[in-house]
Amino acid sequence: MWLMLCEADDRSALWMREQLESHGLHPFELLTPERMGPSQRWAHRVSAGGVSAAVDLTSKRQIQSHQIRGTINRLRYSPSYNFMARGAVADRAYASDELTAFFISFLASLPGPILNRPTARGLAGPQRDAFEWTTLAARVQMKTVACHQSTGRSPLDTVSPFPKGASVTRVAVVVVSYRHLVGYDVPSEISRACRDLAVLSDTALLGISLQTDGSDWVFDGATIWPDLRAGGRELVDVMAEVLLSGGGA
Amino acid sequence: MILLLGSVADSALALVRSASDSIERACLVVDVAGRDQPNVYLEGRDGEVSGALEVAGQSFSLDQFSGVYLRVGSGSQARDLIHTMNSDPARPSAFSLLMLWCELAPVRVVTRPSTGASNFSKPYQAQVIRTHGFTVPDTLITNDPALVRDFYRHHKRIVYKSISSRRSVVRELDTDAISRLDRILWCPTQFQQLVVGVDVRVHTINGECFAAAVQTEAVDYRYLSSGAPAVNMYEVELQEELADRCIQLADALALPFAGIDLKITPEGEVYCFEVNTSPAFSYYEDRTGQPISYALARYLAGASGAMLDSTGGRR
Repeated sequence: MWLMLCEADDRSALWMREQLESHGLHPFELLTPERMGPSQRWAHRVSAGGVSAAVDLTSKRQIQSHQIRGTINRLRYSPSYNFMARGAVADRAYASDELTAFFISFLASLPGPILNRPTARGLAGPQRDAFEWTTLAARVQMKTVACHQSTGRSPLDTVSPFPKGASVTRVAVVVVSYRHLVGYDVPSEISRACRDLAVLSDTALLGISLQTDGSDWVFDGATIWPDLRAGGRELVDVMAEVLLSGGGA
Repeated sequence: MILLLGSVADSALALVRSASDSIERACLVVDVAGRDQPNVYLEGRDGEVSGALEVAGQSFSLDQFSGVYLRVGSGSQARDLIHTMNSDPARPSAFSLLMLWCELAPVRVVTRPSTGASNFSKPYQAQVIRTHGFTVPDTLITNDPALVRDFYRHHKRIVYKSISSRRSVVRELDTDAISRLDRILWCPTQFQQLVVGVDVRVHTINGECFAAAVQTEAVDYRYLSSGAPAVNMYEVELQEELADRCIQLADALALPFAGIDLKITPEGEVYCFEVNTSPAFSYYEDRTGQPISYALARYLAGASGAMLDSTGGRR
């Protein structure tokens, strides 16, 4: 069994799941926050002997961690609101933290490759703002723009690296499992820097946006929720290979 | 200079401030909950982060700080603080910018926000702990009362407690609590085997280890009501192998300063419950006299790590 964790309106994820199922990764179970609530039975165990996770979706359908061979995780928000609808108002802040902590551990315990593995900084991988991404990109030798932030001012001031009136194209690439780059044919040193950024940021599925005028390539942003449809058939093949190989993510 | 970020009323922060004075290292205290907030300017260029901090009419280059003690709690507490201080999310607060600088700057930070977040989910952290040679107690997190009853029958004595960084009192599951088990339906709750033994808090800092044993009959010695069992706390020296394992665990979690909660059973088995990423060490320093704040101040001032002998062991 394979697992897709995403919001119900994440068309990009739903498309990828459909493609991967037709690629032979079957069954590819879909689990959306709407289906993650108190009406399911949740059980998560951690002990010296091992770690396990299980959820009963219905009386006849259960997901157990030992059945799972790989996961694509694109959850943006903790499904905690489904649970809290029944809780006492006074307990909601406490319950919200408890439920988020539960889902981080539950998802982290799933075996096989997880794109992306949950962390304490985000359910679908570490979330960073533009200033942090830009700093990390510069540390892997990508060309970046200088950025400034100060108290009470707009979040990020940057200056365009290209001359006024230059013809600039924005391109998106996706790094999968730290080593495969899909989406656009970029120069080899840019490709290497993109893979290095995935490693440095510990993000197995990373979308990177670049600007180019044909000669210079400048980092323009990164996301842990790339548009998977933009990668087309090539991205489906790479995702299938990574999930089937069982490692590297 | 050492930058202390936190509440001036916090006893741990006060101890580090005093220890900084004792090693004649100046420190600047910024009260993150105070009324007069500083101005912060950050610049990122070619992977380097620099900037300035202006507080009470004085300006400080961020480069002049050798270390930062970030004592604002961890996980949700830190996030709540950012949220509170960011009345307009489009306009970053001084605190959120200082957190960003702490995350990225090549300065000693106790503790960087990202690494401090590891105990936001205690079972998540336990998954890391168990891969570093420590036994973790049998733990069940569920919203199914029937599974809890099975778990209780198996272990005979179990406790329940929070799994996030929200503080909660550890309580033993008794008949009264069992009668209320249906309440867990809407929130998976953590149950854990009750381990009998001596509690040991180990503080690791820059390759040094300070261990304090806590002997008590209380289930949670941190929160005692009147009439509760007595607590006897005293300094202990860990076996070198265990001390090394504690330091390695803190290193693996990228924590320059950690408070590791162990329990050692009468049979000598060592259980690890959690690693506190922003430990309230003053409780232990006050009772044992261990120079934890001094070691912390020395680290923040730029001192090198614990002395190693020719075989690589600690002296």
